[in-house]
Amino acid sequence: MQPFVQIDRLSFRYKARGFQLSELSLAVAKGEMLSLVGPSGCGKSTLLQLLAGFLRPTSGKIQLAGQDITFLPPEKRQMGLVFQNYALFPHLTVIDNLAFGLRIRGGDRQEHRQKSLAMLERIGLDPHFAEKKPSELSGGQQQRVALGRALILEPKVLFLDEPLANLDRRLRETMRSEILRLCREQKMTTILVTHDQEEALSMGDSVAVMREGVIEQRDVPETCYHKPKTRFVSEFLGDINSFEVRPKGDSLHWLEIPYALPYKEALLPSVAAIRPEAITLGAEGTDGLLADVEHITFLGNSYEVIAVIDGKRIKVKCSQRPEGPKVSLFFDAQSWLFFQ
Amino acid sequence: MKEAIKKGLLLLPAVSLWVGLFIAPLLLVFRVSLYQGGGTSGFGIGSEGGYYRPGTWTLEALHYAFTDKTMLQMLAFNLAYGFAVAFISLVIGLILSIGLCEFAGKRRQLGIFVVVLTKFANLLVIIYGLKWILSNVGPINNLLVLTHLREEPLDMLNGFFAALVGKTYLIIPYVSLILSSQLMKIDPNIILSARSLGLSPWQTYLKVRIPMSFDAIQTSLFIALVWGIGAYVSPLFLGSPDQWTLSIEIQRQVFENINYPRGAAVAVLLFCVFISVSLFLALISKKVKTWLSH
Repeated sequence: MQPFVQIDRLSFRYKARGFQLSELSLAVAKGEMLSLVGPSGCGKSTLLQLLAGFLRPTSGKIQLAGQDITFLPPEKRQMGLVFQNYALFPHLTVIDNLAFGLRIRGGDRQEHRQKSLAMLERIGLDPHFAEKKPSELSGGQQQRVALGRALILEPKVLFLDEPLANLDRRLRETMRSEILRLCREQKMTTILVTHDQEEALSMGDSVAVMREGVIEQRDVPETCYHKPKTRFVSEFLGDINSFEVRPKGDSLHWLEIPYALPYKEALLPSVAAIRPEAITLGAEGTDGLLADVEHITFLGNSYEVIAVIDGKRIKVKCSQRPEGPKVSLFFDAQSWLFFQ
Repeated sequence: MKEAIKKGLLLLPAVSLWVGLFIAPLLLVFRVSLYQGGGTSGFGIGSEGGYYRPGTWTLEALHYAFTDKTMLQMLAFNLAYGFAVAFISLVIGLILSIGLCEFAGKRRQLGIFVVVLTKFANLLVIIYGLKWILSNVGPINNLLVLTHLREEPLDMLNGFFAALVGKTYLIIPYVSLILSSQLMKIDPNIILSARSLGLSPWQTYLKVRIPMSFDAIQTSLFIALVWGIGAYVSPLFLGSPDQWTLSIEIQRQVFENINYPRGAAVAVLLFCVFISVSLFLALISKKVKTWLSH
C-alpha cells in the first residue's frame, strides 16, 4: 500500500529526562488503523505529539499525503485527537463541543448545528444529549462526544491516545467496536496509542510495538502475536512461557528437562518461548512431560493452570479443569519461539 | 438530624463572625445615619461631643447623602474610578497571568514570586514610592526630560492618573494570582484538543482558556471593583480633592466635621452602591457566560 503518513528517520530528545526517539521510521497507509503499543515511557505518546505537531523533532521528516508537515503547526495539520480523559470543553454543551471545530473554520451556524446533530446520531447518542454539559455524561458518552468532535472535521489522520483506558471492561469492549465502526465508515487513517496489548491486537490493522524509543516490530496483529521478532515483543503481547535453553548433543534442551526443542536454525538461541494456549494437558501417565499442578484459576470461559516441572513454572490455558495433582504437558511443536 | 446539627455547629463560628463583625456594625451604621447631627455623643466620648443627638430619628443625613449635588458628583466619580480601576486591573492582571501560564517550572515560580513580592512592602511605603516615581523630579519625568521627549516635566501626580495607578498597582497582584491559578489548572489535553481543532496558541486563550476561567475572571472583577469603589488611600494621597471618593467623605464627615450621622449616611450610600454593583455584575455575568458558551 502507498504510505499516507510517512515518518522518516525521526529523532527527538527530552533533555531533562534523558529520553530519546532515535531515527524512527514508520509508514501508515490510507485508511489503515495502526496500533502503537508499548509500556509506559516507551515513547509512543511522544511520537504521537510529534505527529500532531505539539513537539518539534530534532531531525527527520514527517509527510502526510506526500506533503512535508514536519514543522507545520498543529492547527494546520488537519489531524484529529482523542484523549484518554476525553478533554471535552467543560463550559460548552455537547452540541457546542461537536460544532467547535466547524465554528473555528467559519461558515453557517445553522449548518454546523445540523452537522453536529447528525454526528450526535452517528456516535449513538440521543438528541436530548445535545444541550447537556460534559459533566452530565458518563465516561462512555463523553468518549463518544470526543470522538465525534474529532471526526466531524473529517481529519486526514485520527490519533487516539489511550482512548479506552478510563472505561470499565464492558464499556471498553462496546467502545472498541464503536470506534472501529466509526473509523471504518469514514475510512479514517488512524493511529491508536495504547499500552493494552489486547486493545492493540483487536483494533489495529497492523501493530507497531515500541520499546525505549524504538519500534521493535511492525506487522499485522497475528504475526506480531504468533511470530514475534524479539523476546520483548513476545512477552509484551500476551502471556508467554520463556525458558533459558542450551544445546545438548545434537539438539537443544531446556535446562535439565528431558525435552528436545524443535529448533532447526544454525544460530543457537538462548531463550525458547511458548504461549499458554499452545500447550495441552493430558492425564497423568500419558505421553507428555509430567508436571505438578500448583494452581488453577477459573477465567470464566477457560482455566489457567500453573504447572511445575523441575522447579520451572509453566502457564497453560485449557478449556477443562484438570483432574488430579499431576498432569502431562503436550507442546505444539509449531508454536515454539526462539530468541537470541 | 444529627447531620444537620453537625453542619450547623461547623457553620457556627463563621455565622458568629458574620453577625458580630458585619451585620451588627452594619445595623449600627444604619441606626447612626438616622440620628440628628450635633448634640451629646452616645458613645461616652466627652460629655458634649457634638457627634449626634441620641434618641432622635430623622432622614436628614440620608437625604443629604442620597440627594446632595456634591455627593452625587462624588458618587459618579467614585463609580467611574471603581470601574476604571477594575477594568485596568483585570486587563493587566490577565496579561500577567497569561505570561505566567506560558512559563513552566522554575521560571513560572520566579514569575509568581515577583508578582507576590509587590505585596511584601507596606502600603504607605508603596504609596510614597509611587508619589516619588510620578513626581516632577521622579525617574519617569527625569527620563522624559533627559531624552528630550518633553521640555517640561509631565504633571502626573495629584490627579486621576496617579490615583488610578496607585489603586491598580495594589490590586493587580491579587487579580493575577486568582487568574493564573485558574489558567494553570486547565487540563493540557483540552488545549491540545483545541489546537487540533484549528486554534492557534493565542486563539486558545480567547476561545478556550479565558471562557473556561470565567468564574475566576468574575471573582477578580468583583474584588477589583469593590476595592476600587471603596478606595481611600490612593485617591487621598495620590489624587486631588477632585478625586475624593465616598470613603474619603466618610472619613471627612466623621473625623473632620464631627458629624456621625452624615458619615454613617455616606457609608449607607456606599453599601447600597456595593449591593447594586454586585447585582449588576451578577446579571451581566450570566449573560456574558451564556454568550461565551455559544
